[in-house]
Amino acid sequence: MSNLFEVRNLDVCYGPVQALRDVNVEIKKGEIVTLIGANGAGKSTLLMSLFGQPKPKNGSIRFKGEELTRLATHQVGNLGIALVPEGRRVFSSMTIEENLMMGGAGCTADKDDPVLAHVYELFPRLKERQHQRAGTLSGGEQQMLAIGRALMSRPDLLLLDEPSLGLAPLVIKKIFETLEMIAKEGTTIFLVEQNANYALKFADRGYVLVNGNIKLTGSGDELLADPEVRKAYLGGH
Amino acid sequence: MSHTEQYNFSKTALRGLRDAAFAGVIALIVFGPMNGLILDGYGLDFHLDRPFLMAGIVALGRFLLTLSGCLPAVRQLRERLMDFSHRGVTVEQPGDSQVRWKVLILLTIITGLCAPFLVSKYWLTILILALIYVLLGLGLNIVVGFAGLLDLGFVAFYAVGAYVIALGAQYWGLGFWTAIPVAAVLAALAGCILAFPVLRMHGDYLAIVTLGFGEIIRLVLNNWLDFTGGPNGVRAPSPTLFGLEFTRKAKEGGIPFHEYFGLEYSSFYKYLLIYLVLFVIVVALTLFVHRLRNMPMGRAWEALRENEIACRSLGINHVTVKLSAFMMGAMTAGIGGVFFASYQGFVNPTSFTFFESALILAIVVLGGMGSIVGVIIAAFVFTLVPEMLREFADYRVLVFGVVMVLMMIWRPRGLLQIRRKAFKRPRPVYTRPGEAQPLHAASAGQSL
Repeated sequence: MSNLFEVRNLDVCYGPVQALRDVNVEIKKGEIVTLIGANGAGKSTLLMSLFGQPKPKNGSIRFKGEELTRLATHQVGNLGIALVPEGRRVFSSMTIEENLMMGGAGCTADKDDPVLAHVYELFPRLKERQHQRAGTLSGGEQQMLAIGRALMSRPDLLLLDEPSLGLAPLVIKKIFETLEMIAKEGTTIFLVEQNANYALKFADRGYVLVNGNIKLTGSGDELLADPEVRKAYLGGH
Repeated sequence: MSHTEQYNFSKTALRGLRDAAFAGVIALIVFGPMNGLILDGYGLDFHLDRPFLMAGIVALGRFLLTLSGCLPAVRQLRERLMDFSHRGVTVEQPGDSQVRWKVLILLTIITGLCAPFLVSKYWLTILILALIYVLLGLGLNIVVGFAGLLDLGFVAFYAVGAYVIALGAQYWGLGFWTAIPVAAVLAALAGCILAFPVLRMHGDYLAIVTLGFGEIIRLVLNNWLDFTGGPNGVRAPSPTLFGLEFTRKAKEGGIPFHEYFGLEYSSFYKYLLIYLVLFVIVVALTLFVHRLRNMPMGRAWEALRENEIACRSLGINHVTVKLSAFMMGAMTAGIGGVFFASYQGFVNPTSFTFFESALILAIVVLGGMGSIVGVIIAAFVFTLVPEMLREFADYRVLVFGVVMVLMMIWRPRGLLQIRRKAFKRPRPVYTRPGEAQPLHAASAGQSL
């Protein structure tokens, strides 16, 4: 089976500083793939470069065979890729329902949209509070909202940038459970995480990014067992 | 009567007596000097019977009031007054207050339509000016309030509208009615031309560029003598009603409005027509802008203001979204300009200085950014109050500044804050003596 998404020999620079060096990632349809790495390893840079922010210097990024490096930011969003940005970035003065509707392709979703009902099914808490302003939600609820908003465009590939950031362990567990449900429905997931333990347990395969370069790759269990990964990310036990 | 009730009754009666005695003492203190001391010539007469009578009435009343608490009917009434069903915080559903709003809007429209027949010509012209500022405020509200793009040169589009009707009439024989759509289109085009280079900028940079643009338009109008007449200005045509003119004597072959209807000549009719047309446009625009907030375009503006990165990752083209906000705002200002020119009968560049931009911005900011009703109220305040305080005309700008400062301290988000519903205000919770207040709120639910 051909790859749904692949990154080939990607170089990304911020001015004179090279943030990513010769990065290769491939994701098959239906897979859950995670990218782990320390602070400043280039995880977010990789995600943002899919959207042309910043534009890659060399290499190619292909989604369903289409070259993304040539497209404008909003065009990428309309191809079937949805991003759950780091730090959630919900529209805090808009209601939950309005936030979700913004996620529908071209923000044309209406209240009877079956996808909206489905998102409410995945996150019953959002339905409970659909007319409440997003800024009044707790961190975990905002993360659910950000994921729900991304799902509104029925993406083939869901990108998550540190969904566990700043959340309580119980909430993280709940969010990962929901992500598993989303994956079972056939959505391919690419998860960027610092929380290596959760991410590797959850993912089919993983990549380890060190200083802008992919150092290790393998199945989630392999990486979890890898002594180097254990030492660097899991506290060495 | 069961044992407990009997106990309750005697207890209440006892409490009633205590309350009555307390109330009686207070009444005595209050009424003593008021009723007990009567000034008679140079001396005072003491009539102590009168304050004691008053205190007795008060004490009796207090006693009966406490006793009435034993009657079930009174207790029911008290409970209904202090609703128990709204404990805690709930989320207000949309449409909770829609009926009230509809009535209010209808009343406003009726008042607005009747207003010109009830006021003098002078106040009618002031009302027109107020409505023009409402129009400008609504336009800038789209740009600043909804889309969050700080535009300090908004008056440029106002000038474009005003000069379209004035110059259009002079060079191409454009009338009032055709000038409205033409000005709207040309002002929107001007907005588009300005927007393209500045869309990459944010906040302060955008403000500076728009400020420059506003000045450029004014300077062009001021210095292009051959075309615009420079500081001498241009005459702008009055509106016509189905070809009927509002002048004392019609131009060749025409019939003036007052002759056609057999009325005495008065410029009141001209202002009446301008007012009514302007009112209809303002109402239509208000409703349109209100709807817009719930439409994809309006939502996209707000979302872009709140979080550009999230917006772009959702596949929203920020350029077209910002452009549409700029063009909508410019269009509204252009229409306002046509009415301004027609109402004044004359335009020159001094009407379109930076102060005007600042005034419109002040209307939007003080009204509450993004709040339609707030902006309308602020526009009226800013045009009507200076007229009412004509005697203090010299201090107008001073007062303006003081009001600005005070508003920013006490209501930094404007007269009427725009906000979606977060929580319904909880009703006051009445606790019966001896009953513990339940701590959980009705819909807050268990925490995550």
